[in-house]
Amino acid sequence: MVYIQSIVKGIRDFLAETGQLAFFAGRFFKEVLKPPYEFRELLRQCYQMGNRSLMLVLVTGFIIGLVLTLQSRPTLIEFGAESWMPNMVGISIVREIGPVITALICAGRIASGIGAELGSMRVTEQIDAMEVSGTNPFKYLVVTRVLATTLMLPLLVIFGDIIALYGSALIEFLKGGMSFQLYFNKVFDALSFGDFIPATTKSFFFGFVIGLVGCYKGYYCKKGTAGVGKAANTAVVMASLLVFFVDFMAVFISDIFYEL
Amino acid sequence: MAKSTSQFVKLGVFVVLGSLLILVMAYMIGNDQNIFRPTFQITAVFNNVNGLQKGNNVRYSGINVGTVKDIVMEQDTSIRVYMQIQEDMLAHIKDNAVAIVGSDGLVGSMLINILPRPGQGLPVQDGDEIATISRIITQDMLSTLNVTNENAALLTADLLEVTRAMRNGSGVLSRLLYDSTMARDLHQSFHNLQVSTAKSERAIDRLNQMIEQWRLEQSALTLVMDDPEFRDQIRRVAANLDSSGQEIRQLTGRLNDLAGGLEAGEGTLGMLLKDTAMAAEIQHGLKYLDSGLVKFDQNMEALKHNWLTRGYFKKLEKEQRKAAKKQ
Repeated sequence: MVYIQSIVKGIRDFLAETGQLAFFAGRFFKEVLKPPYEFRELLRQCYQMGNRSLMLVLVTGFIIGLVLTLQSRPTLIEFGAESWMPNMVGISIVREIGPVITALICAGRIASGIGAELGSMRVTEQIDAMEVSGTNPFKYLVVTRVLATTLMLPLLVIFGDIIALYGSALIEFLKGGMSFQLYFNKVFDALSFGDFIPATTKSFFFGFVIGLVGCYKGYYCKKGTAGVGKAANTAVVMASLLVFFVDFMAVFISDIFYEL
Repeated sequence: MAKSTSQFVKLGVFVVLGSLLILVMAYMIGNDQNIFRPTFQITAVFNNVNGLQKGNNVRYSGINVGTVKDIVMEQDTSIRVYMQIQEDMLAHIKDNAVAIVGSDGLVGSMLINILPRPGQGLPVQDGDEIATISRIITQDMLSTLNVTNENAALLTADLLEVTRAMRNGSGVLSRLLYDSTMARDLHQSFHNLQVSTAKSERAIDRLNQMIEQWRLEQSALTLVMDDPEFRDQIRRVAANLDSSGQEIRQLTGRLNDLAGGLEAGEGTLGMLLKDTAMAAEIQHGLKYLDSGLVKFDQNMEALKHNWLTRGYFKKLEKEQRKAAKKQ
């Protein structure tokens, strides 16, 4: 009985959390259109989330490209399909690996950062002070951050894609003697807008989800300083899960519009 | 303030670079699909497009020149494929070119190959339709392969039967493989063959020697033939031989005629030789003659004793005695 009660409670909490998050998202859309617009804070957040995450994304992307190629090579050689490496890696990275890996990195870095930052502001009552002083904390803190992640993530994804393809091309050049020109010719020969547009579009949603969850967890942080750590932690977990969920939805929807 | 300005500049660089990368990537993909360059459209009607899709490549003599824009089912057996071709290829593709559905390697995606054909043709125009060639589809290949497999199975079954029979010891091949006596016989035969071969080699050597000797003699004969007197003698002998031969030939001809006549029973001799009835008559006549002669002897004897003719016979005897005395 207790077990069932705990399950029911878990479901109820999950639904409540989902509802609160949806309400939070609704408030974001309401606030994002209303002036005044916090451009300066938006640019600052874009810098924090875009430029500051770039190196991490580049290093990760490069390693992903190297590893993917090194791991795939023996199998492709076994099937006599070594020349298909650029096609395979190009499509895998642009369609799926690039956006998802970049989003997960950003979920780890950005969502936790936002969660911790807003959480500590909530705990130290800075947000309350902003409300008292007549500044709309939601617009200043949440809208700017969510917009920044939404706008920056596609750019980070494209940087990650390019550097991952470069890493893969480097391995093909060193191990298989394939020129960079031939490699990228084959990659772009294999790619179509059906690969590129859905991947870029879903990157916006990944960014939105990461920013939204980070802000949500930080904005509603409670229980003192311990809550700050919990907010940062749950923000990462929830953002990562939602990235996969959004990815599934994106693939499902793009399958309708583009022949995969 | 200075710090935030620097941050904005860095952000600007980041955004511009990222946007440029997106644009370049979009351009590269679009360029590959002939979105950003002038194109024209041609069509081709196929019976089967073998899984061809929109966006698949179109190649002219192996060069990517365009993409498949649309695939429309016109009738139950004809599918019209619209191809978007780069405009700079307009002068090269002639209206007698043919389109064939192919694939990029064994496991590659489908594509359309446009192949030029010999002969003069006019450059294709926008909206033109070009001829097509049906491709051997995988199903046909598999059907052929299936027949081959069935034949292979039959052959294998036959082979199995043969090997079993050989194992059981029936047939010549089995005896060759498993019969030790036959193996010994064969071994002996091979040995004999080797001996015979050696003898043959010796015989051939001797023959060669003989031929060599004959060649030497022939050369000696050549030396003799160089003597004009001897040559004239030989010529005369040969002429005599020739005339004798002709006479012999004539004589032989006559003898042949005679023999032919005799064989055919012509003439008395022929009849005597061949006619059995005549032989019987002659034999019969001789018998009568024989008995007639006996009776004639008896008559003559009777005449000798007759008183009318006795004197004649006595006179004859006296003359004979006188003649004998004179001698």
